[in-house]
Amino acid sequence: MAFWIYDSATNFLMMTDIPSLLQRMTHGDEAALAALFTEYGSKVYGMAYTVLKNTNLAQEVAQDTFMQLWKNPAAWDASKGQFSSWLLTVTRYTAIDRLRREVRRTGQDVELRDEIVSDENDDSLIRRLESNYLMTLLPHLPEEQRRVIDLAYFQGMKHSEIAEFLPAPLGTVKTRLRLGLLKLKDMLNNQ
Amino acid sequence: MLDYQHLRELIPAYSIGATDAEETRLVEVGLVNFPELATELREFQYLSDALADSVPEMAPPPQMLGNLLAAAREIRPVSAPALKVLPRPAPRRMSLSWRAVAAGLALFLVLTNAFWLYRANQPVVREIKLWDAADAATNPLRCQIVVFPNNPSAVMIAQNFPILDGATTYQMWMRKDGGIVSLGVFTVDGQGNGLLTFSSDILNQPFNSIGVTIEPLGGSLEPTTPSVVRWTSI
Repeated sequence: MAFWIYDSATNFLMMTDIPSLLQRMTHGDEAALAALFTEYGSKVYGMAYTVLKNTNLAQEVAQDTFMQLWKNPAAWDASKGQFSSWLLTVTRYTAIDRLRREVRRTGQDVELRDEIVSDENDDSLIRRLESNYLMTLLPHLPEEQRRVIDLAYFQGMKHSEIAEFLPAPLGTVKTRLRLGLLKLKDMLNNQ
Repeated sequence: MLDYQHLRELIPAYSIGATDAEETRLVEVGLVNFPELATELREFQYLSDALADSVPEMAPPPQMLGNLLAAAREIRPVSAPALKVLPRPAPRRMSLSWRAVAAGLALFLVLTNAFWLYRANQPVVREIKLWDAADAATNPLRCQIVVFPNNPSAVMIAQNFPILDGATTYQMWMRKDGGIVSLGVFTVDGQGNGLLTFSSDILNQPFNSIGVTIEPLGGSLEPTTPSVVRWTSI
């Protein structure tokens, strides 16, 4: 079954898919990179901003994410699941790495990270973003479980870091995170 | 000694990268020894993906595409390994056993055709290039229209376009059924990159050509200059 609608030696109209775009990127096709950015740029930028809460840093991280893909388009294959999920995971970890570097660079305590990196005039946007994902996926969780999920997932903290940050006993943090994620999983399964 | 129950309790945190280093090591050893842990992990990875998908999208700054492409030009991607070309064997007369194999292969191809039919019905990206690869050496302008499935807007991406004076603008046109339709006007940034979005519905109807011209600021009712880039149907 042919996907090709039109072809000639020069201009062409064609239909393709993500693996084909990635394959074209291995040959240095910038148009394929632009096409991927057109489709996924707002998702990647949204994730970077949710973690960093700063437009300049989010822009740098989003660009870094696409550049990682540009340098190595074969990094994704179908065995790694949906392309968009994989790309957003790469974005999240890239943003978390950047957040940690920013905290180290400024020498500030991790507790102050929002103040370090937040745009001064962007409070309403931050609230909107937080309320959006919390309201859509985390609405029925107790506040303390929601908090540890946020710190772990969107700020990249480990068990011991969350315990120190809150502060709360390590065992309590582990229990809150586990129960919160279990409830979320059940909610997803029951949707 | 590995405590299965303890490892199982760590799986949710491990799935989102929240375990400490020693816990991570324990889980990874446990995943090798207890296959059921891997099943549980997959369920939580699905949750992790769902959390990521729930993050609201945000329009990136307009200059970002240009910056990305400029950075990409500095670095070439890792090329896929070249395919090894095997020498073509000399033709031989087909024996009866090989005919049986060929018949089996034909049956296999018929059956697997269902897979290709399935693939053909999957959402795909549609792309229209308005530049001529054969003229790439003499014409640096790049322009493409991209239509993604389930997206009502098509996006035109312009690269390396000359920066215009303040009195003119770029305008994109579609020629169909003997008439000409304007798809919109756009400008380019300091690096010659521009974007234009328009309804993708119009691309689902027959059309003869799409082109971009330079027009007075605000656009024209019909093209007044030759196309700087163009796609033409056969």
